[in-house]
Amino acid sequence: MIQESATARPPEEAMPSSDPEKWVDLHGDALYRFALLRLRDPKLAEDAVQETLLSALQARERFSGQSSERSWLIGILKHKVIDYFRKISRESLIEDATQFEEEIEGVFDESGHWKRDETGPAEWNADPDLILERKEFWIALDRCLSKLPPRMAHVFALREIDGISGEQVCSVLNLSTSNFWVLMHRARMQLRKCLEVHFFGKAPDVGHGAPGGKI
Amino acid sequence: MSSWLINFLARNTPSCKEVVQLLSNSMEEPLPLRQRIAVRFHFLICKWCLRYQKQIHFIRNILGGNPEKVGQNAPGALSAETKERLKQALRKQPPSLN
Repeated sequence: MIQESATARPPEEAMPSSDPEKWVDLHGDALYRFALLRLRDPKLAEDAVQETLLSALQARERFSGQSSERSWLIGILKHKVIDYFRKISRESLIEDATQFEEEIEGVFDESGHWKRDETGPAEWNADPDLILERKEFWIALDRCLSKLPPRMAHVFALREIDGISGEQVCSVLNLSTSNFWVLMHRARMQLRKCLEVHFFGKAPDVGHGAPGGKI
Repeated sequence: MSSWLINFLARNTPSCKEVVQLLSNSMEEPLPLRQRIAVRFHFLICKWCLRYQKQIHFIRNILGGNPEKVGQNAPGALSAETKERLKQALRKQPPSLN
C-alpha cells in the first residue's frame, strides 16, 4: 500500500512536532509577548509561557489539527491568563476607578467641553486599509498599550483584544459594572490620545491639528 | 445654524466630558434612547466629540480585527537562558500516557 507523504507546511501551521522543544523556538517569543501585554510583568509572563507549554505537552494527543499549532498554544495561554486574573482578583483589593480622575484634568474646561483644538480630537488621516499595512502604526499601538496602567491594561486587553464579554471580564477581574465602564472609558481615552500624538502626528496639546482627514 | 439654536443645544445636551463616557458605554451596551438622542444633538454642535466617536470605533475595529498583530511589536523576548530552561522543563516531563 502506498503511504501518502506528509504535506509540507510553514512552521506556524505545523502539526505538533514529535519534538515539543521546537515549540520554544518557533512560538516562545510570540507566546511571551502575548502574555506580557496582558499580565504586564516579565516574570509572570515567563511563568505563563512555561505553564502553557507544559499543559500543551500533556494535551498533545487531543490537538485535532483544526487550527495552527500557534493558535492552539495561544488558546491554552489565554486560559492561563484568565485563570491568573481570577486568582489575583479574588485575593487583592480592587482599586477604585476614581483614582484615575487626575489624568482627565485639563482636558476639559470648567463647563466640561473640549478646549477646542487644543485638546479636542484632531482629524486623523486614516484610511484603515493603508494603516494596517504600516509597521509604524503597530509599533505605536503597542507602545501606547504598554503605557496604560496595569489595571486598565488588564481590563482593556481582555475586552477589546481577546473579545471577552463585559460580564465575563467583570466576573474574572471581580469588578463592578460601573468600575468596568469607567476603566474602559479611561483606557479608550488614553489610548486614543496617545495614538493621536505618536502616530497621527498631533503635537501634545499645542493646538496643531493633523492635516486633511477621513476620521 | 442660528446662534440661538447652538446656545440652546449647548445648554441642553450633555457636556463633552459626559458625552465621551456615554460613547464608551455605548460600546458595552446600547444607550437608553434619551441618551442616544442627547448625544446626537450634541454632535450637531461639537465636531470634536463626533471625531472622538469615530476614532474609538476605529481603534476597536483595528484591535478586534487583528488580535495576532497586537503586542508583537512591543520590546520583549525570552532570553536564551530562559528558552533553555523551558526546553529542559519540557524534556523532564514523562511522555503522555494516551
